[in-house]
Amino acid sequence: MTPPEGQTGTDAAETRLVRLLNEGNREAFGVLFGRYQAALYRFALRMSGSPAVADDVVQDVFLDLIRGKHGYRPELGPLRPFLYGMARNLVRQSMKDVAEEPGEDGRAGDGADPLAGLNRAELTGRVREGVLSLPVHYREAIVLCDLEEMSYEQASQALGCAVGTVRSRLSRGREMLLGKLREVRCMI
Amino acid sequence: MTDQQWRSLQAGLRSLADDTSEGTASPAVERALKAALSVRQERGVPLAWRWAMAASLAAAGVLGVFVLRSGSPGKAGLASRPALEDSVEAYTPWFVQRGGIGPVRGQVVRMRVSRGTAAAFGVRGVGYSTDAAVEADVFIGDDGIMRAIRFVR
Repeated sequence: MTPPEGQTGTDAAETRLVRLLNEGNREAFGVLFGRYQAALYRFALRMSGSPAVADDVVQDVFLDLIRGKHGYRPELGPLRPFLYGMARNLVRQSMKDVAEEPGEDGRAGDGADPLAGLNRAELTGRVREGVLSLPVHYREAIVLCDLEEMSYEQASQALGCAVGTVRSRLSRGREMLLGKLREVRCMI
Repeated sequence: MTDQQWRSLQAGLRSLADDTSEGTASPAVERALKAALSVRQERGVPLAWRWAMAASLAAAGVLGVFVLRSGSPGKAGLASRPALEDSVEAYTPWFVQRGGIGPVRGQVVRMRVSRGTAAAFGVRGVGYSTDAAVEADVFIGDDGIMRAIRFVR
């Protein structure tokens, strides 16, 4: 069978799996859950810093998929960014952080390296705190592009925005992250 | 951002990515989803109830998990569990899925479900709290399929 226009063979297969899942097919669930749960969990964990929130997000994404609640429409794009979009909305709902505009404290400032001399655990901890403290728009861009290693295009599909927007958010987010790391380092 | 800053930041981000690269949802998530899926599979059960149960399973705050002994939860399993048997009057009877439970092992999970879910079973006036949820014990087989439910009065 030829996939609908604009869909690859993989997309068409996933569309079939989603349809089977809506009918309660356990094998379809097994395939889709196995394929996406870890990635969605990591995304939610990196966005929220909370394993409990990450668990809830994975559960709610798949529950909605089982129920067909948000009606995955294959003609609008592949399943993967659709699932990330759902996860993103759920993470946002779980967070109180609604600050969208960066403050002045997020500037990269001078040329000093705020991460120099840290061991691996310290480095990871500082960067984690820094990422979690970013406004959500910038955090999403960094999590998807720098941590999930998505392309700009994939991230733009997941975030529902233009590729250029992803680029600018990523650039600004990195600047802010560096500024926050320097801020923390200066306080030590 | 200087090159040195960027390299340093990249190293930090890579370190964070590596640190969280093994993350995976807890087994309880898959169990709850399989239970919801089994509700979806059920035929002959009112649609509203199926969704109510699926939503309840997803949103439930699990208060406790009690591992059952082997055998049917109808008599040999659930009814003989000392922890729950002490106050039989405190519960509604078990509502068992169509076709019976069969000789399966599983868990009873205490959770909060909506009063609408209880009402779907014809159970009204359960619970003493004034909020919109009531407590229920749900028996989930080791295969992830939800087999039975009872409500705390």
